[in-house]
Amino acid sequence: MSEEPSSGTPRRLAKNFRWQAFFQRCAEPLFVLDRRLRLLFVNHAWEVLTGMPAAQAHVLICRRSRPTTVDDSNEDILAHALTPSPEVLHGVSERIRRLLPGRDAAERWWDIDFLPLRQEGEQGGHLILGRIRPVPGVELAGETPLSEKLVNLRLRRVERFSLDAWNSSLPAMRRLAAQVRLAGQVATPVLLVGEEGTGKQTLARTIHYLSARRDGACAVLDCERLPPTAVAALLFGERAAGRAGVTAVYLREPAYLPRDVQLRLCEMIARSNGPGAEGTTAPRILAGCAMPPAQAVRAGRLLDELACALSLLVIEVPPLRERRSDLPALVERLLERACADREARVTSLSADAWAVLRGYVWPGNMRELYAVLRAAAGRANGEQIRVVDLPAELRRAVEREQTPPRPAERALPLEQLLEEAERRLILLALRRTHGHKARAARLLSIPRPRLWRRMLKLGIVDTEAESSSSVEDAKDEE
Amino acid sequence: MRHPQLLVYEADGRLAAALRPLAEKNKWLLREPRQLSACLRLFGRGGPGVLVLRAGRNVERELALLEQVSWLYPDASTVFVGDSDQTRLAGLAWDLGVRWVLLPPQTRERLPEVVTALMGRYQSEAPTAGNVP
Repeated sequence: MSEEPSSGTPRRLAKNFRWQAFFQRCAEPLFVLDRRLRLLFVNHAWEVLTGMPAAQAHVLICRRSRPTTVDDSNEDILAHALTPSPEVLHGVSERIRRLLPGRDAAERWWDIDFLPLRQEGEQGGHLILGRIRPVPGVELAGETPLSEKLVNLRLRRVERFSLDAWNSSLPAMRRLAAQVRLAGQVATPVLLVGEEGTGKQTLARTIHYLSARRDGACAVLDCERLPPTAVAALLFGERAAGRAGVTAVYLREPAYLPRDVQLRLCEMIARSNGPGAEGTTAPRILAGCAMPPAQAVRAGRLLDELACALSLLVIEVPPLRERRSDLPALVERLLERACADREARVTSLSADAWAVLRGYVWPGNMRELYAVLRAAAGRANGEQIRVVDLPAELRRAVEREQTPPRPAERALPLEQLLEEAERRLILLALRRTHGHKARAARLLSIPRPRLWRRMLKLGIVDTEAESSSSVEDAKDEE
Repeated sequence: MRHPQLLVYEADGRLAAALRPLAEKNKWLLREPRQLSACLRLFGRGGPGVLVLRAGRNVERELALLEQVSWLYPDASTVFVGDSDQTRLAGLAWDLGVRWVLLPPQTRERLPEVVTALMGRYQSEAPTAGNVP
């Protein structure tokens, strides 16, 4: 490998410090990315790890947003694995767990520390130093090794649940990402709380694939739908064949389990997290609820003991309506997924279609967004989704939301209206009779004293009658 | 209203025969695609449902299909049925997103119970903008 700085080496860094020689002596695999995310430098340990010579590595651009596919070359997979997250590009150090192809063509899990290097006076990005460390005990092979194709199938599946997909600038989402990372580092039960369709199950898988038990499988059990006897057999049957290789179980809505199963689950969690838990074959329990656990306990659906056992680490997943600023990134990712099995790619939305997506409240959250995008992509005639391609129900819901509320019902004060009508009739009678009270009373079919009383009550005086009469006569003449 | 569909992919038709009375009783559309690609097409056209897949000769392609179904149709449910010597595939099937893995010593009698439970989801689901055409 060349000791001379390559053409992309920043002068300031090279002038002040013989960094290449220093990094070259390090036993750990190191690499440096330049501002364009090109591999500027790799040390000898990196070459040994990846089996790729430095000269070949220098042409790699590590800027890959999409997951790898079967057709990708080793270089593509490597470039994807060494791609820093948006947070790193903004100058924040981060450790990311990725799959890297090795010299023997097998892929393994590695922790990559991305360290952005700030340079005084330099604008437009950072150099990024990367350090690769192997994660012990995460070989994917089980008791009997799976075929290479099946191992690759699993690797591709695991890649789909990368935490990178949850990148967001929203404080709530950054907190969520930090909690998920923490959950990946511990072995305690985790409870994910959030509305239907917010991605709790996806997050549970992400946690599992970040954890030390990731070499085992993660089984998702829908406690609301599956027969409780079947769930119990899988959870507590030590020799259940269906549980072979399962090291984590995600329970969707555990409150639907019968009380005796909930109790047994409590005992299992206590055993697997208490003293002497080493060597236990019990899977790690992850759970997801739409209702906060305290509320489910109050409703008598979830045992208090189970709520306590599951709530060691509670992660709240925000609904989509609170993540509207993430919509462009989510739509881009979900559109790519929705069109994965189609020849025609749909890549964008028209402005009015965007307005509808932004105006909708998304009660079904991301699940509903995906279903809408998939249906719309199927109807789209070209690369763009137009507003007419969106489901009619969605458009109607947005129209209803955006229609200004009807003004409040006008009051109908009966007394006031009757008085006004009476006043007008008396004035009309007086005008027709030129102010003659007796004739006006006859015209109104009431006795004259009553007319007087009503005139007093309504504040009608002779002058008013005359003036209003003259004014209205003038109007009539006009 | 479209009836929920139950897809059974297998080599010999035994599972479909066992599930047929249940499908008739509950008015499910029972389909028996012979090609893996047809399973995906049916999910695309007929809406979500349950796919029961019995591992056959080409396990790699069959498991790849399970992965595709669970990724492209997250509302669909898949059941993997295997034999006793396929326990190593059970873990992989769970990872690929299947809702249930049926391997010995679980008996095939459990299959109707599991399928009924999973199909119940499509019969009672409230419409949203996502599932209203």
